[in-house]
Amino acid sequence: MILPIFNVVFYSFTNSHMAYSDWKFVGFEQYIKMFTKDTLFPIAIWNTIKSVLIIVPFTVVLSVTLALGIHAVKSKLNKFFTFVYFLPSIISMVAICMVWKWLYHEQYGIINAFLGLFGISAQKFLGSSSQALFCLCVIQVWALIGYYAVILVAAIRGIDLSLYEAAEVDGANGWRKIFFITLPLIRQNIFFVCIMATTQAFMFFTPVKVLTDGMPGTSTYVLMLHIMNRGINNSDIAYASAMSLILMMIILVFSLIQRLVIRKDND
Amino acid sequence: MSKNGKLGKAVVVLLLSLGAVTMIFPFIWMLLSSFKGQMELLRMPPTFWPERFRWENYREIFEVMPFFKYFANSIVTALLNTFVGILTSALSGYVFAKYRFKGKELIFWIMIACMMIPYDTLMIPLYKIMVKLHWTNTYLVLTIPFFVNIFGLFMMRQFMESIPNDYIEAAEIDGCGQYKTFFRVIFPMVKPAVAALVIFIFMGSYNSFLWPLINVNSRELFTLPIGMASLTTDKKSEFELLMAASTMAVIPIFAVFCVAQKHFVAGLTMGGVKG
Repeated sequence: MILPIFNVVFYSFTNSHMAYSDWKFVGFEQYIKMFTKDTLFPIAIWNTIKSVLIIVPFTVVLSVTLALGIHAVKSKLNKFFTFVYFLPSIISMVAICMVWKWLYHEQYGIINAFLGLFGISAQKFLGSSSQALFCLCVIQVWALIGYYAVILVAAIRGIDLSLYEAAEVDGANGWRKIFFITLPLIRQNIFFVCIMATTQAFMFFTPVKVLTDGMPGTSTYVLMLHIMNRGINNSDIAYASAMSLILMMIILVFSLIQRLVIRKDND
Repeated sequence: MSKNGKLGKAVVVLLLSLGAVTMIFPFIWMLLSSFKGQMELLRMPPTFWPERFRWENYREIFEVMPFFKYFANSIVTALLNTFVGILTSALSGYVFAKYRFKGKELIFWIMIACMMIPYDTLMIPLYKIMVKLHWTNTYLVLTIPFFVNIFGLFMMRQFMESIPNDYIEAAEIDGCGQYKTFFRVIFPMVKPAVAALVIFIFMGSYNSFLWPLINVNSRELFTLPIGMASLTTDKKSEFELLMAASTMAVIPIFAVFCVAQKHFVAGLTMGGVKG
């Protein structure tokens, strides 16, 4: 585990390439290339940021709502809902993508058939450069909210029941209990979900690779795809390492923020 | 409970059910589509229930792709990885929980720090290491990197630390050697944690996509996710086959989940030592 971390830093300052055996240090050349010559890099960064901005709010809001809902229902239904919502997280992302590819199908997909009932004309979804990224993010959100909801339900279960009883004595109704007791008490867990979702969104890859491979045009060309294309397909280890390092730094900054916030919260 | 509260509950259940439908519908649609004929799939508006259950779609899968080969690759490597992964996690977790040696804290914290690094960003150097070792396109690349699992080690250490040392001492007094103490006394006590970890490692291996994608390009070694992904590019829009392949890929893991969910819940509620 430690060796690759050193390697990724090391390679990023060289010009090493799988096709040639010799290499030399080139300083920051790879990083300069990233920000000046490579026209795809800004596009990839922008698409990645867009997917983070789509995925994270939806994931957090929906999983919190879901957790509150699941927690509110009685035991048998509760088990059933947990099972159903958790289902996508046990299934291979590739299989999920296959299913969604079929749901999204422009001519014969069920979603367009459904929209047709309301007189909405067929959408292109994955074939349209304005919709494709959003459609991919929908898959990611759909696949992950159940997983996060289950984590949050566990947190809600840990809340001391006497707090609710005290609130009831004070005349608090359901909504007040949620907003003044439940949510504040699980805020660290919600924050944890936020960070996890952000990290995963920055490394958004499988649906993109399987369903669109960056297309149409460059509308779904995300950073991980760029790294893999350069590093594996073009064998440009050095450049791909430099980009990996940038991505890693972004993600570590988020993890660090998480640690700091939680530490501050505990004081 | 007031009238208002009951109504609220009903609304919650209704909304959750709607959500549940959106979660489960894609899978039902996958299953139903897998039995339809090509002509039926392309009909507008679509039929919900297949006119006739075409089991031959499933037979055809084996003709268009070496499904069994891919499936066997996935299952065999996943089982092996789980078995070895559990063993290494439990043993090293035990060492970190109960043994004293120089630099233990340091090594442990370095490993925890490594856990924070997003694994996907290390793909490039890892790939280069695999190339240098000549492991790419061999079974080695699908197994050995999965044998050690830092998360597993961490989890095992947490569980084993909570076991009182009295058990180990008692086992020693009864004449157990170190290995016997571990396998007969300690290991059975962390079974719930092991069950959860089995699921974790198995799923990680069975569903892994990026790693085999970059390290394997001979069809002989394709795992199921890679094989299925390649099916989309090989043959366009034969959706009944894609759906049949997905169904078959999903069913074993679904079965494992149905069985193992019990262990999962037991593991979380029971929690190690009683009394």
